[in-house]
Amino acid sequence: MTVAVIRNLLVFLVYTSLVACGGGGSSSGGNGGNTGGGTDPSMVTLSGTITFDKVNHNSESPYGLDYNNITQEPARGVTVVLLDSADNELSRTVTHEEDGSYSFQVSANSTVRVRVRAEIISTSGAQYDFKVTDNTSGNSIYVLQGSLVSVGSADSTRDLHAGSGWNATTNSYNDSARVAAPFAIIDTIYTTVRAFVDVDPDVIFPASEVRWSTRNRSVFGNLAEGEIFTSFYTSGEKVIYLLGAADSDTDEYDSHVIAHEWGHYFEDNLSRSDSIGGNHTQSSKLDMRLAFGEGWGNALAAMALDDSLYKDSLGNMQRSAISFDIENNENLVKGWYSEASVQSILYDIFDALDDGSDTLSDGLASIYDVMTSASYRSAEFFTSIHLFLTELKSAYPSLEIPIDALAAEQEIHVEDAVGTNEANSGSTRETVNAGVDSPLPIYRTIQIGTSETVCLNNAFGERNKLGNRAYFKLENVPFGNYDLAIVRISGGLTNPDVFGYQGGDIVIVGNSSVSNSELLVQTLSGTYLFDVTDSRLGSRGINESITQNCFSFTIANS
Amino acid sequence: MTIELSKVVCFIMFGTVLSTGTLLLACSGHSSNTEKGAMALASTDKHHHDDSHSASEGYMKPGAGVTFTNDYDGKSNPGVMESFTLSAKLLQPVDNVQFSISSPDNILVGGEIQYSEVSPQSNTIEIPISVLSSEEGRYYLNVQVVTNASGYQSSRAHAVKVVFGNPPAMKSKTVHTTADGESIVIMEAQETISE
Repeated sequence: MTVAVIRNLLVFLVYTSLVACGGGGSSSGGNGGNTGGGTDPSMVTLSGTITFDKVNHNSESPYGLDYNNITQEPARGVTVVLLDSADNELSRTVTHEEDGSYSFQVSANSTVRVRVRAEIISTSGAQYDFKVTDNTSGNSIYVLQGSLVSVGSADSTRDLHAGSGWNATTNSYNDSARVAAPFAIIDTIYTTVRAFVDVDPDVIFPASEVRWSTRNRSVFGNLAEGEIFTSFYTSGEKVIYLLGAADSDTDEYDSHVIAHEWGHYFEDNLSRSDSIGGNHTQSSKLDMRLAFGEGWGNALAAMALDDSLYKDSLGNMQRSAISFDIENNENLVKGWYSEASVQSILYDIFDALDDGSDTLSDGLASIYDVMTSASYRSAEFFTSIHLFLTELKSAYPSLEIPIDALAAEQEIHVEDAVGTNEANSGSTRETVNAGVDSPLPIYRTIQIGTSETVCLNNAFGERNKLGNRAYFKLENVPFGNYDLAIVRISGGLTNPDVFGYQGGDIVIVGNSSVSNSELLVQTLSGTYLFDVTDSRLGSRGINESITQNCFSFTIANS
Repeated sequence: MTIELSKVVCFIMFGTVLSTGTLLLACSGHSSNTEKGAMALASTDKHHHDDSHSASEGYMKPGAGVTFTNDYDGKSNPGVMESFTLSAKLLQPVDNVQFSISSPDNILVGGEIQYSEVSPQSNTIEIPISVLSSEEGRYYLNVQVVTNASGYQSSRAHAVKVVFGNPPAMKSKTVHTTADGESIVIMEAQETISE
C-alpha cells in the first residue's frame, strides 16, 4: 500500500486543526488538511507547546555561555507532524509564531506521537524553507520526538521540550542529549528571516539548510566526519556549516554567528557579493570586498537580533568569547577597508538610537531595497562601502547628507562607486617610512598597449588585506585576442596572479604557479575589472620589515 | 628544527594513563628561522586548505588572524610516543599571542599547555607536541589562540586530529527513515502529557 493511499484513507479518520500564525506559514504535505471537526464527539483536541533550552551568554565580559542562565524558549514556526503507530504521517502544522503552540483534531482513542522537525517553511506570501541537518549523518534533518500514546477520549496536551544536554554536576555536555541545539539554530534563522519578511511580505528565499553536529570541529578534512574548520557559508552548496564540538567551539547558541553566516546566504542568493573571503578581524585592514561582506554580516546580525553586541563563545566549557559592539563608532581601524567601519555605518542607518554622527533611523527597508536592486546587483564595480552608499544615496536622495556624515565619521569619502577623491589610504608612519605605495586611487585605468606599474605589499598581512591587491579597469575593449602579462620588476620571489571580472562575475583566471610572471592570452570584449595579486606575498612578524613587490601589468593585442 | 632555547617553555605532563588515556608531552617555542617555519607549513597537514591560488577563500566567521598546520603524518602506533610540530601562522602583525592546547574530553592528558609570546618576531610560531595513547582511537587536541592587536582582542579555535592504530570508521548516529523515505535524526523530547 502506498503512502498516498494510506494518507487518503486516514484523511477520513483524522481531522486537523491548523494553528497557523501571522507569518508562520501554512500546512504542507498534502495530508489530512485543516478540516476542523471540533464539534464531532468522535474527535478530541491534541494540543501543546514546543519549547527548547536556550543557553544565554554571560551578561559581562567575556560573554561566554552561562549555564546558570538557561531559559525555555518557544520553538516558533517549526513544523509539527502527527504520526500513527506505524509511523505514518497523519497531519502536520506549524507552531505559533509567538508561543510555540500547536493543535490537532484527532480521532478519540487513537494512538499517535508528535514529531517536531527542525525546520521553518512558508509556502504562501513570503516563501522560505530552512532546516537544520546533521552533516555527519548524511545531512538528515533533526527531529524532536514524543512518545507513542493513546490520546484517550478527552482533549489532552502534549508539551515537548528540547533540553540543552548540559550536566550541571559534571559541567559538561552529554553530546547525545544536545537536543535543543537544532531548535536554537532554526529559531535564530526564523528571527532573521522574519526581519526581512517585515520589509518585504512577498520575499522568496531559496531553500537552504544549516548543517550542525556535535562532531563539527575546527579542523580541515571530511565534512561528513565533522571536520569543517570553522562556521561558514558555502556558495557552492548554498548551505551554512556550524561548529558544535564542545570545549572547542560551539555555535548553536551564538545567534550573531548564525545570523552573520545567514547574511552571506542573503548576499549570495538575493543580493551580490564579490568578497574574496578568508580570515578577518575587527582590527584588520582588509580587501574592500571582504570588508563590506563581513561588515554586512555583522551589522545584519545586530539588526535582526536587535542586539548590537556580537558574541561568539568558544573554549573550555564555552566560557570564552569574542565580542564587539556593532554600535561602536570609535573603531580602531576606520576606512573603506574596515569591516568595523562598514558595520557601524550600516547599523547606524538601521537603528533608532542616534549616536555620534548618526541621525538616521531608517530600519532595514532601504538597505534591503538597495541590496536587492538590479543596479546594485549588476554594478560594474566591486561590492564595497563606496558602491553600496552610492546606490543608497541614489535611491534615497534625502538620505545623502546623513549618509555622508556617517561615512565621514568612519573616515570614508563617498562620491561614487569607485571612491573618487577618497583620501584615506590606510597608511601608517611605518608604511610611509618603508616607502610603501598608497592603495589610492582604489581603481586605476589600464589601456590596451600601455603598461602600468603595480606594487603590492604585506604591511597589513597577507592574501586578503589592504595592499595585497590592486584593481584596474579596462574599458570598451574591442573583440579580439589579447596578451595579458604581469611581470615582476622589483622585490623578492613572487607569484603574480590576475583575475578578470565583468558585472561581478569572474571571467578570467590567471593563477599559474609560475614564479615572477603571469602570462595568458584571452579573448576580450567590453569592459573588465582586473584584480592583480601576488599569492607568494606572505605575512610578517610585527617587527619584520614590510615586503613590497612591484610588477608591470600590460594588456596588448595578441 | 631551530628553536631559541631561551624562549622555549617546556611542559612535561605525566597524567595517570588510563586504559583509554593519552599522555601528551609538549614543548613550546618559537622558531627564529622563518624559512624553516615556511618549510613546515608547506609539508604539513594533508587536509590543509591552501587557497592561495584561488580568487576566493570562502566565507569564515570573524576570528583571530591565525592559521594552523602541522607535520603529523596522520598515523600513530598505540603505545608509541608520537611527536610532531604544530605551526601557527600569524596573518597580520599582533602585539601578543597566547595559545592553549588541551586534550579531548574525558581523556586524561595531564592538563593544558599554555604558551604566550609578546611581540612575536616571526609570523610563524612552532609548538612541538608529543602524544601517546595505549589504545587505538581517533583523538582530537583542542587549540585556542587569543591575539591582541592595537588593543583589540580576538580568538579562534583549532583542532588537531591524532589517530592511533586502525580504529574503526567513525560510528554513525542512528538514522531513521520515514515512511516517505526521508532520513531523520531522532532526538527524544522531554514530554509532558496531561488532560
